[in-house]
Amino acid sequence: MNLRESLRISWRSITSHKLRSTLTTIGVIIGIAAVITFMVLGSGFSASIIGDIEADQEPVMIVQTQTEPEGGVGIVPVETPIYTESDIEALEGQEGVSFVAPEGSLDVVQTATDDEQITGVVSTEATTADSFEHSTFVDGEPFGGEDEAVINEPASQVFEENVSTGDELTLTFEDGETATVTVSGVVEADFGEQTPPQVFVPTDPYYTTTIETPDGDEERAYPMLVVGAESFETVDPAQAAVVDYIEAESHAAELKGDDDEIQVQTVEDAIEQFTDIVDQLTLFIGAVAAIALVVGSIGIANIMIVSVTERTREIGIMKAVGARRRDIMQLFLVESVVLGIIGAIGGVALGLGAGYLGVRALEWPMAYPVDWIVLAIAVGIGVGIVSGLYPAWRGAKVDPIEALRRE
Amino acid sequence: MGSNARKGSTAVALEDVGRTYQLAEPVHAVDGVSLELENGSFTAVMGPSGSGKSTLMNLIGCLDTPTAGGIEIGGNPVANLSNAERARLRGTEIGFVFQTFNLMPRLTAAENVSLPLVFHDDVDQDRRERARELLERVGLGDRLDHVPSELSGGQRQRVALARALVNEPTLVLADEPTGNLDTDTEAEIMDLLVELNEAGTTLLVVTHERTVAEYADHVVHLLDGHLEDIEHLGSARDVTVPGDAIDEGTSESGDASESSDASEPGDASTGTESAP
Repeated sequence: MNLRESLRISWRSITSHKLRSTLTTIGVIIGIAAVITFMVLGSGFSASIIGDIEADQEPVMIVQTQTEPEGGVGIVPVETPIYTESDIEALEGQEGVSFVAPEGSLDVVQTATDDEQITGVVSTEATTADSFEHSTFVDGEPFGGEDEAVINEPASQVFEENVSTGDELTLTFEDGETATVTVSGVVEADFGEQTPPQVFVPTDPYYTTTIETPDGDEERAYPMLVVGAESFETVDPAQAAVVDYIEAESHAAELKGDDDEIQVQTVEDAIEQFTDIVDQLTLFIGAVAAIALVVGSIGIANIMIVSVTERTREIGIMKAVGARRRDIMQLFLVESVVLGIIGAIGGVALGLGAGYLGVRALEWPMAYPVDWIVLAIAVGIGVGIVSGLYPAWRGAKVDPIEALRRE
Repeated sequence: MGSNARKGSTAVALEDVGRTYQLAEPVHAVDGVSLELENGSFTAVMGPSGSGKSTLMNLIGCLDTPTAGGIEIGGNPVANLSNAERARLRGTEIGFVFQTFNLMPRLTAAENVSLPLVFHDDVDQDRRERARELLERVGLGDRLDHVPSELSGGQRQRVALARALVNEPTLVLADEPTGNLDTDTEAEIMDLLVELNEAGTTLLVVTHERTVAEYADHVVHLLDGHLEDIEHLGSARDVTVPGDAIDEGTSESGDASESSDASEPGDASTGTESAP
């Protein structure tokens, strides 16, 4: 019996039970659609962020502390201030390094313009003007004195009336003190839409966190450093020099917690790490969605067994007119594989559709996870074979005499 | 009669065939039956319910395998054939006609007729054309695309008959082919079968209707799985058979006197009750 014949007969059987076939394939459709949707959202999310970062890639690296949570997944940043003034000074002297800008959060509870106050939401970071070396200014320039501040685009838009260069902001600290700064410039956000609103002020005089160095001095210390390389070409050697210094001589290496790890990441490294995390997460969610596929394949197996039982008499007829066991086997396998493929195609279509609506709502770029689509079709075929095997075998061993005796 | 066209060679030979079912206690559905059907012959098998008629037909049709004895079809023993080979034999050498028609409900008449061809790997012939040809032959040239539920009982049986012929079988087995039909339709179907037989096909019809059996050249009487008697109607189909009335509805064959041992090779197990 050739394949076209079994396809024709199976198709007849599938279409003559439209409702049943539809319900059967829904399990597979949902499973595959879920996987595809998550893949689209995952890729869209990655692309939206990486696209933003890559668009204005800078020859800088970030020095910060991370730790792996016990029994947890991934890595979490550690905000302990361990990078001392001495470290900064030493790093500035390294080969290929053009500047070292510390960054540390300030406990600002309220940010206000002349006529609006915002509590929380806006975070205030202390840094030096150097850190804007490679930033793109939408307007204005880095701060020049202690009463000036730079804000990022989200921060300029967070107030009802957009804040721009020359406007005044009043920052209220946790201890009740206030400071009024003039906006000297607005920078593009680091991570596009995802970036929270930020206000940057000079470390002097606002940053006051100190730590006792291993040498016994009391020095200002920061949880994070931005290290600029002289050019893109010197990023790699500069990174190596920074790592060497930090590992061998820095205060930070001695001050960090035992389980903490100091990361010196270029933008490229960060993208890679970020992609890794997103990929893992997407895969994990995909695996959960794959459970729906298992349920779907059980559905197909179930309906195929019913179908074999129901068509026992037809099997008997076919055997009487010359069908071999393998013909019957083939017939039912083709039917379940067709159901699997329909499920896969439906699932891919639904998944892409749902994914498209999702990324459009979130304003992420649309992605077509081609390898996952191919995999989904393969899985559909696989599900069809696996779930059809046992019913087909049962059909093949039907005794034609018994079958023909049934009414 | 045309049935003599290929006389001399044996289409089917049964040698001491038995079929025992292992139920709570062994049941001998067919027991020690020896029988030969000549090429081109028309044989009817009669017997009451449970006499083993259908089992015998299933054995000859390679749907079932004997637990004792041997069967040869066209001179070849079928005992050692694999499942697939027996399926192939059913598909190419044997045509089945059943009491309940056994058509595929979702296939059209033409598709039902060409179904046996589907299971051949050598499918170059134009199946639709072949189906049309056969359906025209049984008078259903205008019903090609009707599904069985749109056809009358007699029409369905004619489709089944066309299906049995699609592979040009040497042997056609019919199990109560008119059991579900009225008298007029019965005559139509039987006429078609006779026509077929006259064209040279070996025909075996299982029935418990004397009127059906009388179309045959020979009537094999079964009782409790044993071959009771072989009655030769010879070429006397259009002649009144003596004792017709006596035989009606019974497996006892009172009129077998004239022919019980004339030419039938299966006589090893016959004759016990042939003389009244």
